[in-house]
Amino acid sequence: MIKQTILALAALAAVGCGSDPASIDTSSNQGRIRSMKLSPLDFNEAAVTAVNNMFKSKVFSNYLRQYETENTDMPLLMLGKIVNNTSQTVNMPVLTERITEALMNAELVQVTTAAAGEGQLRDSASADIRDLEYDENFDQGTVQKRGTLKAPNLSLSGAIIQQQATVGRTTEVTYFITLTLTDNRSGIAVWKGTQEIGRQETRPLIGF
Amino acid sequence: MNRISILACCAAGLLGMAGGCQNTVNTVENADKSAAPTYVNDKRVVTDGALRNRLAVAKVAVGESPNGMMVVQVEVTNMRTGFFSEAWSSMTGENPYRINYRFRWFDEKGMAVSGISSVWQEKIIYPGESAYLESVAPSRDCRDFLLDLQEAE
Repeated sequence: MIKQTILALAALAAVGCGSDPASIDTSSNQGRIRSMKLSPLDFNEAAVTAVNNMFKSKVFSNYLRQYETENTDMPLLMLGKIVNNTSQTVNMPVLTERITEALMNAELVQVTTAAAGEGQLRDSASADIRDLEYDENFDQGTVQKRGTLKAPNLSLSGAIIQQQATVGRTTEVTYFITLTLTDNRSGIAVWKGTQEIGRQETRPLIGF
Repeated sequence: MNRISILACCAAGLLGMAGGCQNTVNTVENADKSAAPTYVNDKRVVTDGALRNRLAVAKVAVGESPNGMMVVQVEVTNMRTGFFSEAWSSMTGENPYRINYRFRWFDEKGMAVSGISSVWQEKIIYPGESAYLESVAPSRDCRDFLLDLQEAE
């Protein structure tokens, strides 16, 4: 009887450990999950650092100034491919969209959605709607003409690289997030930035 | 071995352990500075006295990025040095000290400007170490800023 009571109480306690879904403050890192893998927090922090460094970069600033003197608009940025050399699946827009938002809102660049590298968000509508010229149901005067899309002259590319080292029960993982802004006219990088994110954990002697 | 000897041994052991945990930062810098940063007066609201005592906010400097955006740099120093502070922070797993911070920016009309710069970030600061918390305004319209600081969990 005592054993059954203890088991019942243990079961009740286990049930009581759960919690209902609750909203969390995604701008905060208090109480958020950090593991050996990259988390949304890491991408947030990486994006903030990258944007701060872009804003402070003299080389990038010189490029923008030079572009302004030769053109009447802002450079058009394309999101290029970010190579994922880690063991986890990474949705790159989690990192790159925040960076482009910041650059756009700061009125430094324009962003094209008509062209994008692998893994980035691309709006195929710009191309698709031009096929409506073959559809008799549409007023052809309202169909966008071919040859009006603007080609980008600035691109954001990069890589996320994972390095791992294990000594005994301790494992250390370091992620390198490296990003580059390239002037597509010359192929010359106008900004580069690398950040390291490190994690270390020690497994218990017994158990998991 | 009497009780006093045992207590003395334990105390010596604890002192040794605490001494072994010392991991503070010594610094050397040029005494005659050539840089002329623009420091601004700051206004502070303290709701966490422990954080205020552990993390000293020394100077607030402002500048401008090459793109004409306001830049702010706040110098903070981890004051958790000295035997008792070191021993306590080692025992509680708070060495190195982890803080979270975020900058918020306001335009010329005092309206908050949302942006990626307003997310909380974590910073690890060693005892005795000074860190420079920095942010660049998300637009050229920003005039004022607010820095939030809290101890990380």
